[in-house]
Amino acid sequence: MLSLKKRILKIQKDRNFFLVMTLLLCSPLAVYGNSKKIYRADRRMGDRFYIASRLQRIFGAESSKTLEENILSKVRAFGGACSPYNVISEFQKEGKKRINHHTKYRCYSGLADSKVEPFIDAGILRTGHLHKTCDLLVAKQQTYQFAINLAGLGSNSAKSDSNLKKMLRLFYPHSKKLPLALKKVKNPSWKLILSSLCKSDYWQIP
Amino acid sequence: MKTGFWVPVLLFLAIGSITLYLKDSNQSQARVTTSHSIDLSKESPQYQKVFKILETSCNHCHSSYAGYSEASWVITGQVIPGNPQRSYLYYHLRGSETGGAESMPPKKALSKEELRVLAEWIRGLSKGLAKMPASFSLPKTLAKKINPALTLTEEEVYFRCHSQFSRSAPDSEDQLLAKVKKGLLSSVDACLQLLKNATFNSKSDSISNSIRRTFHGLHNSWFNNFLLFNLQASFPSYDVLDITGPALYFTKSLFSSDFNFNQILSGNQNLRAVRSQEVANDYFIYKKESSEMRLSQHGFFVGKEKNKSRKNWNPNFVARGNLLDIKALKADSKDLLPLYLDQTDSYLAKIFKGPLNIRQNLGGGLIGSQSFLLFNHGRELGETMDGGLLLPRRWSKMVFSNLLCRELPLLRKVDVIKDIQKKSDISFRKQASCLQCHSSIDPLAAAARQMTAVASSDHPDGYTQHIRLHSSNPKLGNGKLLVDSDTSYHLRPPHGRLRYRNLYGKLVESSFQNMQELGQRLLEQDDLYICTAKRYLYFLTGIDVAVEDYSTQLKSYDPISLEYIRFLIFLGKRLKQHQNLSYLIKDIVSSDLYRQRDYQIYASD
Repeated sequence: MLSLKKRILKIQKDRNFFLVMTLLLCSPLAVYGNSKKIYRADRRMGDRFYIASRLQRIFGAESSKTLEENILSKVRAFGGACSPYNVISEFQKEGKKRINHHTKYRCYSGLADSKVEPFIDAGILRTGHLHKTCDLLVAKQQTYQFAINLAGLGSNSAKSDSNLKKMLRLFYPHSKKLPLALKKVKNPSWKLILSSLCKSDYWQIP
Repeated sequence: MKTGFWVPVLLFLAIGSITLYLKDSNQSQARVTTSHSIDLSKESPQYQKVFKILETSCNHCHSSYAGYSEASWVITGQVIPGNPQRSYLYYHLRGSETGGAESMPPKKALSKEELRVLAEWIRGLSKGLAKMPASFSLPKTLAKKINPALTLTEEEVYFRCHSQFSRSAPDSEDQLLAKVKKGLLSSVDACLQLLKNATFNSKSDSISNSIRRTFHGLHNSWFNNFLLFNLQASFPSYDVLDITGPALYFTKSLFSSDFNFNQILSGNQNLRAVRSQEVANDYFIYKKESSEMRLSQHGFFVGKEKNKSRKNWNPNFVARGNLLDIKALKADSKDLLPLYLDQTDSYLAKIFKGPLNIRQNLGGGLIGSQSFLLFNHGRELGETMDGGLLLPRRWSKMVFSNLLCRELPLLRKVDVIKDIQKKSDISFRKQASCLQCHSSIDPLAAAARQMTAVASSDHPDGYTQHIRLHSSNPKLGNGKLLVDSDTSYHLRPPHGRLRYRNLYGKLVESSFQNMQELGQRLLEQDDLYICTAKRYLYFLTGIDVAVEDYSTQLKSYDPISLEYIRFLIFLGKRLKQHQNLSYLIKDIVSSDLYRQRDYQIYASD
């Protein structure tokens, strides 16, 4: 058995090897070369209002509390400034307790929320909150049923291509082709399909 | 394949990756300094000698000089062809007898012969070298930059703009969508129609309200300072002074047909939002929902407790609800403070008799508005400006940052050598490196010299903060623009100077007599328009292009960067021409970039 050093020496004699190595090393350097990037390309995701609005349309009015707790109130994860003076709020007496009424445009964490970015690129926070929201909405019978009905399906509908397309169009209304990944899944439940679509990234990019 | 082949392959790949990584790390630093090595054989024989001197005596600390060609010294302004005495490089050399503030190299001076070689090289340099950045010609455009497979349909473009503008997808009954589907209306026209429907004189529906809210929120996010210098003063002030005040100028320009873009920096009126006022103001907006502090129970105060002058005050509150219109703010009796204090400490506060108009504007539209002055004044309550240490520098820094998208320093060392005041008691007036920032912000801050922040009362949490504008007295004369301390500085006419390198690398030096003139000087430049274009481009596509002095590094940008710079300048110049924010949006929505599914362009040639 030859030692490593001898093997390297042997290979270095091969002229083709040098050609390959030169290409491997030099081509990326040539591409990067002296170029300087002056821009940042963030994925132009929808903000918290957009995400909440789309999901509410898909899962119905029963989803509003879940959406407020997991999407609308997560200003730093999704972006979208609050409107400090757009808040309808008054302390009203209900029995002895004061009740504070707000709109979804309120500043959850104070006035600094009015200065946040108009949208925030997908990150671990955003993904985590969305996944949790999707799980909750699919697990809740009323919201799940609303989505199934909206797609024109029933819980026992067959997993045919046309039915899968109906489900897909809830999130991707302009989609014409069924993604291969969705075709290949073997005998999935509608809940799993709905949840996967809900958690996917691309519908969040308007 | 034998493992013997893969060992060296992996080894080389690893070396390649490390090299790439190091290259990338260097590139991030290259934003400030260029650190490429150069081909010396292409340089003049004189510069080859100079390069060796620099290599021996300077480069171990100033490593970026290793990448400087002859032209680089001129382009970066560190060498003035023909004039060693005014050249930053020569000026700072120990023993050069030019009177430089910083002697270099720190330990061992250059020999007389080395200094002579340097001086001779500078004297012999062609002045033509300095003209390179001024021409500012961008390399040719990309021949093919889109991916046809990722191009949106007309319907999808409308879906996109509707979703971005209103933050909700169009529903199946959307009339504009129906027209786009039938081919009766182009997507761009449909997007513009959405904006038109949201103009202030139109009927308000929920989509129009959402669109106004989206854009007003966007404009408001550009002005990130809102905390008043004294934190205690914060919460009642925001119910009297609109926290979104500066943004109102941009929003009015977008949604009012009679307010051109250039009016943002013109005139002497503050703006007020007209909102739907569904419910009366009932609690401080600053307080979180758990709070039970109610406006009606809390009260506002003017005056001082110690001399028993403190009394209730009933100011005009900022309107609440959906944004319906933005109008010129006309002060009434509720906007006049009968008394005010120079600080909130009950023992030390000096009381002043009003009336103080809390809606006064210094001119120049947005930059002279109460909200922009107050949120950016950056000084203690009661301080008057003296032209030295006391100047509203945060305000001028924010003019550059918020409106021109430019961060300090904005001058090259060569630009500020003439500003060095060796006899000044103020340390930053003696150093060229400090003056690269101060020579921009100090003469600009002179425009806002009249302002002093004051408080309405000494009530622990019942006072509001405002800007008092001192009346200028022409009889005092202009005086010097930058002095160590002038007790009458705040009373002199507010003349000043706009001084910075614009994004083409051109030195802007423009004097003004007041804030209104400063607004005009800013409108004459391209920077304001290009900054606005940059912000809309980011909002609509997610592409954030840095705005800086492009002239010195034009040749080092990658092709995509150059394409974005070109597009940005195009958008900005168009805005300067048509003065209409809707058209700016139209220009972006009609672009190839906006119609790409992934908002990307590609360098395929």
